[in-house]
Order: sequence, then structure tokens, then C-alpha cells
Amino acid sequence: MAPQPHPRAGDGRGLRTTLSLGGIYDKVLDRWLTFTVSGVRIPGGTLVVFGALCFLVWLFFRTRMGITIAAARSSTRFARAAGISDERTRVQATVLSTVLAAIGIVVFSQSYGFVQLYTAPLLMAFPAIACILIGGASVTRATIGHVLVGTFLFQSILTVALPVTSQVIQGDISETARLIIQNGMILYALTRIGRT
Amino acid sequence: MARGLLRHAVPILFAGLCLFGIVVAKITPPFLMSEMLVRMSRNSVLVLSLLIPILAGLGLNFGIVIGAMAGQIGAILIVHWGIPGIGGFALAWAIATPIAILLGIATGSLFNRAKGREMVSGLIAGFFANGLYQLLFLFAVGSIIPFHSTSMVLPQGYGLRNTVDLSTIQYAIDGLIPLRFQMQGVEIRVPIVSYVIIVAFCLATLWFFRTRLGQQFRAMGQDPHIAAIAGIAVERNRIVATVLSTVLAAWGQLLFLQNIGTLNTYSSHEQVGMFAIAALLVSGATVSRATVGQALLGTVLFHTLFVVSPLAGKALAGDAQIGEYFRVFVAYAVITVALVLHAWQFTRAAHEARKSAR
Repeated sequence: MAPQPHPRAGDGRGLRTTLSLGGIYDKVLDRWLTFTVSGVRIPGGTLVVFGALCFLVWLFFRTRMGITIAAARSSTRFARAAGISDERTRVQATVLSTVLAAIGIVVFSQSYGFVQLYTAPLLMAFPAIACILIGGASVTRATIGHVLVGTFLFQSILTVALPVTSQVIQGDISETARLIIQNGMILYALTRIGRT
Repeated sequence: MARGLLRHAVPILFAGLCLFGIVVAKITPPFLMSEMLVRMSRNSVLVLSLLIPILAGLGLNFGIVIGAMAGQIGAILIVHWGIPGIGGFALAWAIATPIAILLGIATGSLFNRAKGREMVSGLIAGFFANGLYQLLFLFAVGSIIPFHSTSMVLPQGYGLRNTVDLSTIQYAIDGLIPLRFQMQGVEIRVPIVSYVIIVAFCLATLWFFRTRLGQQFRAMGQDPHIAAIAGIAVERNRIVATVLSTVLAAWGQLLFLQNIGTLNTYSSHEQVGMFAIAALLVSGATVSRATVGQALLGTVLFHTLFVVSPLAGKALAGDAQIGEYFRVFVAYAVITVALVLHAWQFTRAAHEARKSAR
């Protein structure tokens, strides 16, 4: 294993843009419970962690707090009549979302093997939003099923895009395809709000 | 008095920041003036392009990025055809205009489908258009569209290079009537024709506000429902407003590029919307109200900070980059505060209306 370079940048000030996780927690979850199916390595640990988090989110929406959040979103006024504060549930929902995002990028970077300090957090939101929308969610309704289906479909499109388009156009088009699909999906969702 | 100060808090705060930077970095007036003359001539038209959608109640048009792309398509084509000077620049404007009109119609129709969310839709539409733009110039050019000039196409035979040299049309407008003078040993160039164009656009915008269509836009901006009842074709007018803004942005981007002299094929347009909007908001303009004077004042203040912040950062912390980070932080903070204030006033107005209806 290569010796870890000091995380500080070359001139001794500021952190590097990309930190290698080799030897720290590179692929800890991927390697844990890993198994091979006909030559394909399956990162069992990451899947188990993801499944556990799915279960926790599912469980959360059956707790008191989860139900109040859902109630406040489906009708603010009825919820207020039942003694649920709109402002409070908004903050609770945002906190939970932010916490899950923080866990998410750690899981992502252990699998990826690097921490991209300055760009990755900024670029994380849009693909995630596109995934859940492709899965069939709308701005007012989303389930764990949407997350699973959407992520599978979106990542499949990006993986398949390269060999398919290379028949017509040379070069690696997947990054551009990601831009178009992801923003196209978000635009579509924006035009759908408030329509039945 | 106190109320007046509060209302103009943002521009006053910004002027204070700029003055502080100028004093700290010991910037001399001739240097500042020469920099500002150039920057004003580059950016004013882009900021002006935001005014008409605000009047029509569409909010800040983040979609001017799409207009900037249309302008760049014009610039790329005239370089490809090798048409230099003012003729090339005029042709670039002529090519960019119909493209911008088409894209403006598309953006306007999108805004009609996403009423009340024009700003975020415009922002995402800019990203989306950026994807299509990359598809066009990074992959289609040279492989599907015949385009064979080795100086512009990447060595692999398709896709445009990262930079396109615009030296053939550089200063086509700025240098048309050259005026230079010395001021305390610093040579100051005044791009007269660019300023004539900017003034013409300012006057045209002011005139437009007074026309029949401009008054209809104003009525729509105040209340689209009442405007519709009064017989104004609201949906059509919203598209017209977006088209005007997009075309003006395309022209503004070309004016910007002829001064810079190089086109960063894949990034010149990306920041156009953010910077123009930050510049406008710095003057104290809001999402629903902005004047020509505010556009010009905002451009002056925002770009003074552009010039000053790296120098002030260097003088204060010994690192120009720190000043840059500070400037980026301030630009986004201004946009955020303006949007939050707008949302707050919007919900409060709705609340008041509910109260009085009861």
C-alpha cells in the first residue's frame, strides 16, 4: 500500500482537493461481506448498510415524529389544527435529510476510494434528485421504492450510454448524458408541480 | 431618514466594502478607473438583459445563460468562416439573434409551464442547455456536423478545443473610435462605441417600459390574474419578455467576448447568469423591482469589488485568493438574501391577504 501523502497541500497551506483513502477506510464496507457471483464481485457490506438505512427510514416514518412530518406536508392547516407545528416539522425533516446526506457521502467515498473536498458535496445533490425523479417520485410524494428503482435506472443509463452512443459518436459521452438527463428530469418535475 | 437608509442598506454596505478595500489595498484612482471602464463596457448589457423579465413578473432570469450560449454559437461560426473585424462581429450578432429568439421561445414556454418557479426553472434550464451545448460542440462537431479547421477542432478529429481564439474580432467595437489618455502615468482607454451601444440599450429599455407592451408587462408584474382579466395575453407576453431578455443576453455576451478576445468554449457562459444577477441585486434591486439606474449602479459596485477584493486580500492576509473567496461568498450571499427576502415578503403578503379576506 502506498504511503499516505500528508493531507495538506503542496505549499503547506490548505488541504488537497482530493484525499486518497487508501489504508484508512478505503472500501471497508465494500470488502466486508463481499462475495462473487459468476465472476462479478458484489460489495455485500455496502448493500447491507444501505438496506439497514432503508429500513431505518421506513421505520422512522412509522414513529411519532415521522407521522407528524408526513401529516404537516400533506395538509399544513389540518396538521396545525391537530397541534402539529409546520415550522418545527420542516426543520426536523431538513435535519434528517442533511444527516442522511452526510452518511451518504461517507459511504460513497469509501467505495470510490477518494474524498473530493471541494467539488463532491456541491455536485452530489443533482444526480440524487434526478435518481428519485426517474424512479417515479414527484415533488410532493416519494417512497423508498422510488429511490431503489430510480437509482438502478439512472446508473444503468449512464453505464449503458457509453457503448451505445459510441456506435454513432466517438468519445466518452456519459458525463454529458448525465447533465442532460439529470437536468431534464428536474425541469420536467418543476413543470409538474401542482398538476394532477 | 432611518427608513431610507434601511431601504438602501445593500448598496450602502457594498459601497462601504469597496471603499474599505480601496483604502486597505491603496488602489490609485487611475488604476481603478481604467479597470472599471473596461469592466463596465463588458458587463452592462448582460445586466440590462435582466430588467424586462423582472418588469413582467418573471423574477430574475437565470436563463440568460442560454442567451449567452446563442451568442457564443455566433462567435464560433464567424471564427470558423474567418470573417474578421466589425463585419464579423455584426454577422455574429445577426447569427445569434434568431438562435436566441428560438431558445427564448423555448425557455418562455417552459416558464409558462412552471409558473411561480421561473427562477429555479431558469437555473436548471441553463444547466440543461449546457448539456446540449456540450453535446453539440464536444461530440457532434466534426463527427456529425462537418467542421474541419485544425486550429479549432481537437486533435482527435471531433469536438471543439477548450479555447477559441477571437483575436480577429477583438476590440471590433471597443476600438472603433479609439480614445486614450494618460492619467498619472496610467494609460486609460475609453471604448467609446461600446458605451454608445450601452447607452442606446439603456434608453431603449427605458423607452420600452413606456410602450404599450411595457405597460402590459408592468400590469402582469403587479398581478397576473387581474392583467389576464383586463384582456392582456399573459402567457404570450411572458414568452415575449423571455425572448427579449435572451436576445439581449446573446448580444451582451458577444460584446463581452469581443473585449476579452478569447472564448472558453465550455465555460465562458456558465457564470454569466450568477454574476449578472449578483451585480443587479447589489444595487438594492429586488426580485420584483429593478430599474436601469440600479442595473448600472450594481454593475459599478459589483465589479469594483471584483477589482478590489484580490488586492485587498493580498494586502490584509498576504494572499489574493482569500479576497477572491470573500468575493464569491459575498456574491452568493447577496443572491441568497435577496431570494429569502422575496420569499418572506411573498408569504407575508399572502398572510395579510388572508387576514383581510376573513
